[in-house]
Order: sequence, then structure tokens, then C-alpha cells
Amino acid sequence: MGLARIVRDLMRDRHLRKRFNENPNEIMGEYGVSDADRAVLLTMDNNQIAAKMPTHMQVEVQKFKIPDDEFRAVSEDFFVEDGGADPQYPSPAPGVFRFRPQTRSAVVLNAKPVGQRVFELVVFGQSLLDVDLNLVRADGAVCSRSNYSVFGTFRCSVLRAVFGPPGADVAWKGGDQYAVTILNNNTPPPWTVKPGFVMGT
Amino acid sequence: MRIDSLVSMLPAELVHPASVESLSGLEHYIPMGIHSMGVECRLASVESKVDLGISLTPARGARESLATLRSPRRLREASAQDSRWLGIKRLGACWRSPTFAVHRWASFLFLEYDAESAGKALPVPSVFVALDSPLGDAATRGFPELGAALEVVTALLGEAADSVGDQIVRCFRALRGQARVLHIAVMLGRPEKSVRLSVLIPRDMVDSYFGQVGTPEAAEAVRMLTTVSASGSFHQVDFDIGRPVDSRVGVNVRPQTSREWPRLLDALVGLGLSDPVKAAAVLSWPETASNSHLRNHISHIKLAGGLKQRIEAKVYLGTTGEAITRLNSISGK
Repeated sequence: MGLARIVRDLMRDRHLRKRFNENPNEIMGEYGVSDADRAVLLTMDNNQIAAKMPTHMQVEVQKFKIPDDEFRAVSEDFFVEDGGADPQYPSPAPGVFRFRPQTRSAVVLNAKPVGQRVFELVVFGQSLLDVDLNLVRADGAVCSRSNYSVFGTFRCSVLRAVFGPPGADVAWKGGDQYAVTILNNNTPPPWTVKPGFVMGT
Repeated sequence: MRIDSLVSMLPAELVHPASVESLSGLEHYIPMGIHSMGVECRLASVESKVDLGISLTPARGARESLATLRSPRRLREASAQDSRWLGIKRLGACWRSPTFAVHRWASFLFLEYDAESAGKALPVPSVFVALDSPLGDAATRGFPELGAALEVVTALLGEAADSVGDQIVRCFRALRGQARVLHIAVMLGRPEKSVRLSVLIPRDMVDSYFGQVGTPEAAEAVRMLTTVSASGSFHQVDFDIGRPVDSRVGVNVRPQTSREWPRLLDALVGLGLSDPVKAAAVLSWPETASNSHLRNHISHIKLAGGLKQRIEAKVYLGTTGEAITRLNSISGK
């Protein structure tokens, strides 16, 4: 049931398609799609998906095509900024292109209620497999993390996470330095992206 | 900057002067859209051949450049006379058009001009297409890049692509876990015009993969080559598709950090796979950039061979930088 609803809505709503492209698991969770049906949907194979649809939807699903150029899996952005992840050939060397933002204002974040003093960090990289992302203060305290997701493609992967103050802290402190750390393919030690994140005042 | 300026940066120990001369003539047959250039050099003492590689990217306008082949002038003429260049132009048109999978899943193209080709009246490069792929496990991510791969061989080989289509599909469908196809190549520069795949595959899946595509001997060859140089949890394996898949394979090797190159090259010298003078010349390459706008790097080493065959070691040296962009403007004249 969940599969039919999400497929129907995806065919009609380009904004939902955009959200799905960025975080399919979240959207499939919202629709209550079962694990088995998720595997079918993620094939993005019209015929496989249509076979799981009610009869009246099957032809429409078989014929459905995402409008040309709605998603650009390969963006010009996949090339490195300031060097760092070349060479691309023969295989893209695992690496990080950049992360954003590089700083936030502690004053602005701390003006929010406790528990909501968070911001979203987005990391772009390549050749990232089974990857984990953390934000670690200079003294080793790890920031709380929520809504972590990985999307994109092998050559242009996007990691996204929402971070809150480190350790037991309830507020951010301006001037603190943080390392953006990435554990790729479950293989320690984690990388540290340089320069790191700086919490502004 | 011209190609001979770039090639002349190469250590004489690696590139014979005659090779430099023949490669210089290729400038008239290089499309616009260059991101980087590189050369392939043999490391054995008796081998002096060198091949030229050019990477072309959308960011540099390579889609439009290949789709039209308007310049240089000799390239425009070549695409009107030669079916292989016409195929490259067809591929460019597919790459440019959002209606084709190759537009979406081909990150960049690499043209490799074999040394033999450089001496011919009409040089024709082999075409390597770098494929992107969705993240995740092969069982759930699907293979949208397979459509791009089939478009590549159809554009470049025409009807002859039919004979390899099933084999390509099988090689994709046999992928498991995080394994993926990184490149598909059509060796237009060679008489047999073979199709080559470069696959990134977890080390513990090599046996099952080549068993499934019908050439278990290739897994043996991979094992033999990877004992020469230890690598990480993944291997990058190149192999030619035919009937059956060729058991001769190439394994691409690159240390995790540039500090480890001396140890790797020392190991190859110790195994008799590299001339010591050539190994030293390779290590000097990053410092030989002729000006501050160029960045020279050692890209990787490929070990190629099959069971009971001699192992061949080749090194790939690359150059990127502002000078490459200026080369684009030269080619555009």
C-alpha cells in the first residue's frame, strides 16, 4: 500500500522527487514502505515497480519518465576545489571536495531554545563507501548528531548531518575549533578535513 | 603551451626522443575540452613506447566539442572521412543530449593515443568513458550506468556493438556489494577494436565475480598480480570483453599517499618489473613541472598479465594546470 502511494505521488510531484533523490530512506519511511518494497523502488526500474502496482496503475508506471535534466547525477562540482582529490583517473581517489558552512555564529545558535541549537553541515566528496561523518572539538568532545544521510553518486557524494553542541554542553562557544572527521569504508583512522570548522562569535 | 612542451618535460629515461616527435603531431587531432593530460610509459628496460592520454570534461566544454568536432581543422576533416572518428562524434552528440543515459552518468572521457597510432597519417584514439554510479549495494541501487555503457559501445561500434552487448550486461549484473564499473572503453586505436571494462571490486569478491562472468582464470591472474603489490580492500581490474572474457587482466595500483611511491617502485625493481633508472625518473616527475602553473603527478601503475604470461608494468604520469586550459585555446584555432 505504501509503495503504491509513494509511486503515485512521485509521478505527480517534482518537489517530492527532489526530496526523494536527496534522501530516499526518509521519504520511504514517511510512506511506510516495507524493506522488500524499498528494494524494488530503488531499482528505479519501471517494469519491476509496475509489477508491484495495482492493475490500474501499471501502464502509467511503465510509461513514466522523469523529465529530462530534472536531476543531474553528474555535476560540474565533482571536480576538486583547490586540489585535494585528484587524480580522477583511473579511479577517483577517495576524498573530500569541501564542506559547508565553514563557520556559524554561536550567538545566533544559542539564542534558540536548548535542544534546538543545531545547524546542518553538508560535505561533498568522492569515492565514499559506507561512510561516517562527525564533528569533533579540539579537546576530543564529539558533537551530537542527528538526521545523518548520504546521497548522490559515487563520484559526487553528499553527506548531510545536523550537529548540536559537543559532549554534555547545551550551548556553543564562540572561537572553538572543530575537526570534520570522516571514516570511509569502515577503515580507521578517520580522515580530518583541513581546515576545519570554526564556531564564530 | 603545446603537446611537445608537455611531453618534453618527461624524463629522457622514460621517453625516447623519437616518441616525443611522433606525439607532437597529435596536437592536430586533439579535441577541445581538456582537463588534464598524461602519458603511459613502460617500466621495463627494453620498452620505450609512450602513449598519450587526454581527459575531457563537461566543465571544459568537451560535450559540445566532441559532438561537433569543429576544430582543429584536421579533426573536422577526419570525422568526415573515418568511421571511427565519426563514432566519436556520435558519442559526443549522445553525451551532449540529456535524453541519453551517457549524458547523466559519464563524468568525463579519456582519449588514449597509442604510440603506434601517433605515427599514422590519421591517428585515432581509444576512448575511455568514466562512469558514475548510484551509491549503495549493487543489489538495491540498480545499474542506470549500464544504459550509458551500452550507448557508448553503440555510438562507437555501430552494429558491431550487438556482439558484445550481452557480455556487457552480464559483467554489470554480476557485480555485488559495493563493486562497480568505473570505465568502459572501446579500443578504437587498435585493429581489433576490443571493448574493455575497468571494475572496482572488493578483494573477497574477485573469485565469484570472474566465475560468474565465465572466466575464473582471470581471478587467478588478479591474484598473481596483486601479490606483486599489496593493495587495500578493493582491486581495480581492467579486462577485455570477448567470447569469453579475456583472462589477461590489468590491475591498477596507487599507494594511499605520495610518500609511498618510492617503496612501491623499489618493489617493482626488486621483482625485475621496472628498470631502476626508469623508477628513479618516475619519482622525479612531480618536480619537473616547467612552470608554476602546471602540476605534475604520478597517477598510477598498471600491472598487466595473465596466467603463465610475462607481467608488464606501466606507469601513468599526469599533468594538470592552467597551461592545459591554454592548450584548449590553441586547439580551438
